[in-house]
Amino acid sequence: MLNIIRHKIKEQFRGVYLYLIFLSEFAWMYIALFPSMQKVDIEAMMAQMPKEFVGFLGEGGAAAYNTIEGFLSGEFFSFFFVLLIIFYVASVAGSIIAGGIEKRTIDFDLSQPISRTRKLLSETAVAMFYSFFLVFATNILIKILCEIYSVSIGSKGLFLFSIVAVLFVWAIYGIAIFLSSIFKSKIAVVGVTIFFTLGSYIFYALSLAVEKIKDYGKYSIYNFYDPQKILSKAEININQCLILLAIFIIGLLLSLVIFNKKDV
Amino acid sequence: MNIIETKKLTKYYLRGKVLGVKNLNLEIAEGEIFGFIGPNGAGKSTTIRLLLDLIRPTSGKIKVLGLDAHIDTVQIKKQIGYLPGEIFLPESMTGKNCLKYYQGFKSEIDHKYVAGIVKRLDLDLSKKVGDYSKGNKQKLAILLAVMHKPKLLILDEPTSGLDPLNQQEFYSIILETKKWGTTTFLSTHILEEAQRICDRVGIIKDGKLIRIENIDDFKHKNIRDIHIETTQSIPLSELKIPGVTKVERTTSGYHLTTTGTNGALLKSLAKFNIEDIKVSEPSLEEIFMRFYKE
Repeated sequence: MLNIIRHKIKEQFRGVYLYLIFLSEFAWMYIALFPSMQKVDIEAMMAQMPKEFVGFLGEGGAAAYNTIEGFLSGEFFSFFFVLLIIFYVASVAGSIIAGGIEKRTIDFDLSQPISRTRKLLSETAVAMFYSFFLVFATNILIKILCEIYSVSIGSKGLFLFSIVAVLFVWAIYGIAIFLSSIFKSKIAVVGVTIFFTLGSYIFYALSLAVEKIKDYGKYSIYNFYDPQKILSKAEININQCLILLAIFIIGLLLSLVIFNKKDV
Repeated sequence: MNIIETKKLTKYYLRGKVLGVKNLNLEIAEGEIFGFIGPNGAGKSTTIRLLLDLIRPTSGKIKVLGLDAHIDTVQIKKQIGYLPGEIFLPESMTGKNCLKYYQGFKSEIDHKYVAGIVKRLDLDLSKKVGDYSKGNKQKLAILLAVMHKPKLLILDEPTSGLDPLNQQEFYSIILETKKWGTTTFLSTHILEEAQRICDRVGIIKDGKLIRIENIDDFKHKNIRDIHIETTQSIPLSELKIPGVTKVERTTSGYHLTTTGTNGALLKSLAKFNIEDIKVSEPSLEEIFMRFYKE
């Protein structure tokens, strides 16, 4: 098991490093932009926009953009940040079973004295470790950049948000690894996972903006991931965290059952 | 003890629509080199994948090294060396790191033996696997299969991609493993390969095991296509001698199919003005049509 973990950590290091650079550059751009954004009368600007569009911004509305927490949530954390890390975990999940069968790399790996369960858990451990690393490393860099640009951001809120973001990414990994156990192609796994995440995001955003579907927003996985709330209030909802963890565990267990029975 | 034992092993794909293998009964003894011969799609790879528990049988039983192929798969794989038909190894690794990675799964490695095989196969382990030619990937996979001196070697079309010199080296490596009691299960569609190293051969076609033969009986068939180039007309009575199963007139001479030894035929042909003789191995399909049409 350690052999696989060591190998996968080495194999994915370069890719993860590039993801981190990409995320950091975007975070840097937004933080550097924030002081000049404060000079703009955002509320007046938003007043010109359609009501539905402003509804997209959620609880704090346009006023939330006056704080770094609200600005980063709206511009970075809600979508781009999480989507990029989800792309990484979906690619990893897609490679483990569906991609391995598709490319036939799995034959030689499974001819080694290691059970399918151990193989899947080892590679999952690496995906968990690197997604944890990407979330926390990006947020530590954000804290440092905020210090450099003299922008005040709450450490506790950032730390709590990192925990929820990790759980959110793991939950999506749970879905992706389940898809990997039933699909026959890595691209299908990545595509459906991204489509699901995007769809959930759009549906959740619409539920905030459109009165008719307001009550249905709770069915989106984004209901359990609200960066603005966590960052501004510096508190998390334990039940929501447990639901995200449960999605991850159920997805992983289902994939283990299917993978162990599957012809590869 | 039988190292491989299958009873009425059957595998269907796509919910019974496609047959992989049907009622396969095999008993392969310790130290034996068993050739599994059949054309593409005959069921050779399906059998190997069943032995390795990569796919599960529709019905029937599989025992490998006296253990259940599914329940005891990890225990079995500690003692197996596998060479896949198509080699897919981690491309970003160097040969050395790849070797180190797969050695990590095995408990005992004879490093002196590994170094010897590397030298014999003339394998450069400093290069990245992705930069290897097909033949070098094959050599690395051979090394990975034999490095831990396994009790059972499962080889799927092992010499595809190897040049003739390395093929010879490969045959001698396999024959050496027999000395320390390794059993080899080898799938091939090259008759000469089977005749060269196998003790017994199993003939499989359309998912069904047609026959198992000792290699001596199999060799005795020595099926050959002989093309005789001559402008002279040879009486059929001179060609239709025992061992010649088919005679055809061609534009440049004659085409014969023979079994067994060809001494009598050569003696008969010596009386005529022959310009050239070409001897080749007929296709497996042709051989099956002739000998195993069941």
